[in-house]
Amino acid sequence: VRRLLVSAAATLVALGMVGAGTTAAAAMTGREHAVACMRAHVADGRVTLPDTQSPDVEAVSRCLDEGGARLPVREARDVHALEMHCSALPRASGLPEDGAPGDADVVFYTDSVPGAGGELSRRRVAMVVGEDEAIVWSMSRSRDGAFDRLGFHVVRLGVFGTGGSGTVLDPLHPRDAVFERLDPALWPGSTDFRRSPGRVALVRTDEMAARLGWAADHPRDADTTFWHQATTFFALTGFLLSGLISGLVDAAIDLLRIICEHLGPVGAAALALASILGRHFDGTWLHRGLTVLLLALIDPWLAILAIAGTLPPVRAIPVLGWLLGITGGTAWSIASFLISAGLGIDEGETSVLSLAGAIATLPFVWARGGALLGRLAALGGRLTPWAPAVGRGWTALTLRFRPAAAVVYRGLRPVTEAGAVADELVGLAPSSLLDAGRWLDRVRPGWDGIDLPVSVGSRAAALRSGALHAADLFSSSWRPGQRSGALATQGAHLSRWLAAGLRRRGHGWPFDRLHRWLGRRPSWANAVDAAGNRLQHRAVPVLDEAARAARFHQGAAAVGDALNGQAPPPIPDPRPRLRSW
Amino acid sequence: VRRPQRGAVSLLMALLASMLALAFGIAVFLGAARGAEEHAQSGADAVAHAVALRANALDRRDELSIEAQAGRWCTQGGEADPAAEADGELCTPLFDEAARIAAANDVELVTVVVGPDTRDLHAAPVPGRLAVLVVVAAAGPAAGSPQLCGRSDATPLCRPEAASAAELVW
Repeated sequence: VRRLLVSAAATLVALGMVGAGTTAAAAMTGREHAVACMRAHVADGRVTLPDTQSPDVEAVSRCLDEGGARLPVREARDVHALEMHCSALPRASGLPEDGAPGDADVVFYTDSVPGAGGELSRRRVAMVVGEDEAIVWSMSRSRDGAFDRLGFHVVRLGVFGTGGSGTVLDPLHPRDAVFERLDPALWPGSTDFRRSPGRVALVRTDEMAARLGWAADHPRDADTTFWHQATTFFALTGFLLSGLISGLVDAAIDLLRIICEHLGPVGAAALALASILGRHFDGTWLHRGLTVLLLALIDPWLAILAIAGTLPPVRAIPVLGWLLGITGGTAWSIASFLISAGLGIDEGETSVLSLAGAIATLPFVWARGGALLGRLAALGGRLTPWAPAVGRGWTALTLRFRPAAAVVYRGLRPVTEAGAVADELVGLAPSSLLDAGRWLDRVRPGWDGIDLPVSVGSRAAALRSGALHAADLFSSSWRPGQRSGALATQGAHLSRWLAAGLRRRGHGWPFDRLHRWLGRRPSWANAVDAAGNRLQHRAVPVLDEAARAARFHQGAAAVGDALNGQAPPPIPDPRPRLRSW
Repeated sequence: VRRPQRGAVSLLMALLASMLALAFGIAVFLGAARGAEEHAQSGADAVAHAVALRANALDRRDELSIEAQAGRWCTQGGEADPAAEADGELCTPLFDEAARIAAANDVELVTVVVGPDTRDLHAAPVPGRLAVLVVVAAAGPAAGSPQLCGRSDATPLCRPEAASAAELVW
């Protein structure tokens, strides 16, 4: 018994030790990891970060990341971007459960330093590492009053209250301090142990009904299987590519139009011709007229019969209507088919270009039809005694005609194909070709006053920004849930960057070089500017909307909704209201 | 005053008195209806507030939130689509809380909807906050009104309804 008791006690002690060890490790939450990481920066006593202008943002982002927070890669160096992922904490009672700052919360402040050319100020971020402590990036002062060391230091939260502490860190004069908390959803599994029930606010019922209605119409795609992800990915890629191609085609058409506008009389003639060829009209009545003409050529009574057979009041007559419908309707259908097949003129929307293409290819169509008839007649000749002669005659006739038809076809094929492509282009950008006037001059003043949100400061910044975007996109390979959003966001970034560059509002080596080159060619510069305007006007808003919607929902449906203008109702940001407290 | 004139005066007086009585009755009824409306509104606010607090403090809030974001909400009353309903076990505590607060405030629950907070929608299935929309009805405007309101209990005067919505500030 004693042996049993001793072994049981030993087992319990061992289990307890193992349990205690694992509990200690497992109990470290993401926030505690982040705090430990920040404290390590202080303990190091040296700057281990790369040479950067924002070591505070770098360190806080890195430590939040180490704690498991899923901060987007590209925003690691931008204090404003980091701020976007945080919500201000109300400072009503100061109790932790009422939203007082706690571990791994952050405080944004403006650090002002008297400089040679006046006061220098910079927006900085510090991390709260205890109930009354935060770690800031600043210069400390030694006991004799001399400036000591630039680095991370622990300060009391009171520093961010009514002015600086005055003794501990002389150069730190925080202004406009706001305590904020990282979006709980960014912590791993959202197991944010600090998440309290929070403070409930009553909101406008109509606004809530609109928001819930939108959420009901746009449930998040719950399917997270591989194939769903893959199809979503390809659908989005296709959407972005088609948008890009459409934008490029628009830009090319603009370019062509502007070149024509600068070519004088030749250009004007080309534009006028394009305007005529691109004219769209309803081909229904042309088709019907030709059908009636064909029937009348066969027999005028047949035409009347067919027309009567298609008229609703006539068809309403009990027996006669049915008979007329059968006979006249059949005659009409056959004649209509012959017109469509023989002349290539269908009912519905068509353009002069399509019509010209259809008429130009008539010889080929008829030659093929004739050859087919001849072959059929020759085939039938085996069955009837008289048909071989007819069949041979037909075949000889069409064979004689076919080389000529082949030549015509070969000559016309590029024309018709170009016609089809041009028709597509006209369909894509009707305003470009149909309106030969100075559309650009009318539109341009409206766009000049708009500032783009993206400006790439330097070549290095452009490269870095591009590299970060690429890294973010690449990282979506192991964050499959983010793929669609990342793709849409990058598409929006790319289009904005391109539009800004083309419109001379952004800089960077490709655009600087382009605009230098264009400086010697004003007419080309106008064309590029117009293309940039078009991109900004057409592609950027759509892609921005897609990116915004893709943030909310997984799946290509959000993109479609964005295209249709079905964005979620605007959600008021509570932060400005809280900041004023 | 001659007899016919006296008759006319008394008729006029009777008419005036009855009109005054009617106006008084209407005023009383409207006042009661207005009071019932206010009662319904404060009841709705109380229920929305309590349910929002309860929903966001649920042990299985994360689960419910992910369900809600995928289109399966907690809905009581109204024409709820069964396919768009969250697991009953998740919703029961919320409906119970709504019923308790409604009873305490002497209002009847018409609709309770607990859905996702659109500020927390993400591409990935990440839990977020929950938003609440409730509709309640007050019992009736005043005692003695069943004669007026007996069968038409859907009219705003006889059974005023009020809606309220609540969400977490952060």
